[in-house]
Amino acid sequence: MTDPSFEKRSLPLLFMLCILSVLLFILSLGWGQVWINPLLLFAGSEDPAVKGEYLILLEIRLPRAILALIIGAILGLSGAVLQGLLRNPLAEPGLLGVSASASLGAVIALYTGLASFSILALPFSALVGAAIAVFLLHLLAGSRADILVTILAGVALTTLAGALTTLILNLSKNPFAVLEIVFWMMGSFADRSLQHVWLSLPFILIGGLMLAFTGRALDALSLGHDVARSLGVNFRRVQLLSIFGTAIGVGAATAVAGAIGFVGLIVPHLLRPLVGSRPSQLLPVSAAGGAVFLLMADIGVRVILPGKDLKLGVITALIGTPFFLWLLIKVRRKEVL
Amino acid sequence: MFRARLILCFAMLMFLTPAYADQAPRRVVSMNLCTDQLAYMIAAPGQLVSVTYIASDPSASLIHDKLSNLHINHGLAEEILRLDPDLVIAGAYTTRTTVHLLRRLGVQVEEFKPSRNFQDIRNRIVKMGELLHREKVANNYLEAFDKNLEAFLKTPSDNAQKPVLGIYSLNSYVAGKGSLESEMTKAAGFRHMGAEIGLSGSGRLSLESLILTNPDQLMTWRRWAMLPNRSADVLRHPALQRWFSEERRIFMDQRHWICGTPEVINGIKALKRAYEGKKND
Repeated sequence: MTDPSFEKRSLPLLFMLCILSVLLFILSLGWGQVWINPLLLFAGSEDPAVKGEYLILLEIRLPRAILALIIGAILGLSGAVLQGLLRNPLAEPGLLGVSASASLGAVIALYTGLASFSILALPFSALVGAAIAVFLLHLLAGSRADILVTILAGVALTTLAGALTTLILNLSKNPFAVLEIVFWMMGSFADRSLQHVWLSLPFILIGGLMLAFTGRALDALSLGHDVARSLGVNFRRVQLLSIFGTAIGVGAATAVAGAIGFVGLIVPHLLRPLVGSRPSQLLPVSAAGGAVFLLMADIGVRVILPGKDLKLGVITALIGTPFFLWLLIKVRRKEVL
Repeated sequence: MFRARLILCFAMLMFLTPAYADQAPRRVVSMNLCTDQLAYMIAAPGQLVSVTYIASDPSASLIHDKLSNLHINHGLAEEILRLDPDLVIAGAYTTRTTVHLLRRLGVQVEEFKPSRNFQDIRNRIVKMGELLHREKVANNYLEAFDKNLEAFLKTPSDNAQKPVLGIYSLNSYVAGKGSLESEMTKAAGFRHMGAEIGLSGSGRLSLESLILTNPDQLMTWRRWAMLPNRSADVLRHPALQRWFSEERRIFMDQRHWICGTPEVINGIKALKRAYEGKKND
């Protein structure tokens, strides 16, 4: 069942994507209202002429680039895992309501004052929201359910979570809270700080590790449940790793950057023709590809409408929706045949 | 039964309103935070019967603790009608559907546009005085307002010498030229950052741009900056804290800056005091 040709192909691809994400990371540091030489980051802030630029680089652009990198990676990875686990080519945290539920969790923590008790309350509440969503989906749709039923369950969850988020922001005493709805639904990396990085990075790493461990088991699962069982795959373990990995990773990502959709849908599909459909091969490249994709989208936000804080989710949705419709048509054709 | 009473109520309103036209209104309802506060200052005791729920919010309203005898409304036609008003005062851009409905039902509704400068404020004081038939009280406020304003504006100095004041609000919002905020800033002896960078209306200024624009003093709103939410996150951003050190930060009470009422004088005074206190330290 090992096909060496794909393994040979996936390693160079992974390498290329990593190089590309490093280049984009550097470009993301330099690009903004004004171009700032990223190398300044190592030069330090001794020279008073560049003190402002150094501060912008270190405290505003560096966290922005790091967040794009790690959140892109976790979204790409979780998309690939969910597609394998639910055996559904349309699965993705954004579409299935996981991101929207994480947003709801984060908003609850912020506006009930929970977040002011402990700095960890925000990511924790977001990942509880995400976990409930993944769990509900699994309960509703299961792993053998119809593809479209799962998607519709996701639509229902997204709508409900979005409505409750709006409700909480409406009830808030803060007159500016309603403006935040856009952030929680569409996501943005603008003016985040290193605190947000420290807050999300550990969770994203833990979630990412849990998801990475599912690769082999998902390989077996792609041959069907019975085959997988005969190969000694512990289905419950895969389920738990996938559910909690997604919840922890996507929950923390959403808590600091809002709900960013479609990354987990587009990236694995673009890479599958290159590495084959075996999850163990697909997972690492999806993570790297997600980072590349989100770094590009976040640079795009700044190129298209500089100074306007165009929301990241707008870009990913503009690319993602036609892609989703195309996939939907493809899935339906297969079912007819 | 209730419906019949409501219809009767409408009918009475329609017939009776014109009769009151030459007399002072006796039941005045305000549907806008800014007219709430202005009407509260000028109205006779008991004349103002209802203000908006925002007027009871301590972070937005200067009269939040003085409303025990007043009804609180949410700008909904039904609750306004039940108060049986002979004059309704509304903002020109908010609660539009209610305003149209009330007018169709024959209630006298007067609208106030938001003020963009001191002349607008003068006009509103006069207009409110006339509407409430309290011209004398309004005139007293107007005279005091003009006297204070004259004192602010007569301190002449070279414009280029004045410090630039950047006012940074939640969600990175900054007001531009032609705003009340910029007029108040100028009256306090500053140049206004939004006007200096050619912003008109209001818009977002990213934190990066704020640091590069580098105003001499950065002013933020004391109460709102403390809110534990995302829109205030930017005001606690480490880059902002490090770039604008303690002696370059001014914290003000936003309530004096929201509405075009004589209270703006206190806002300007507080800003001047805060800045002069820094210079003397």
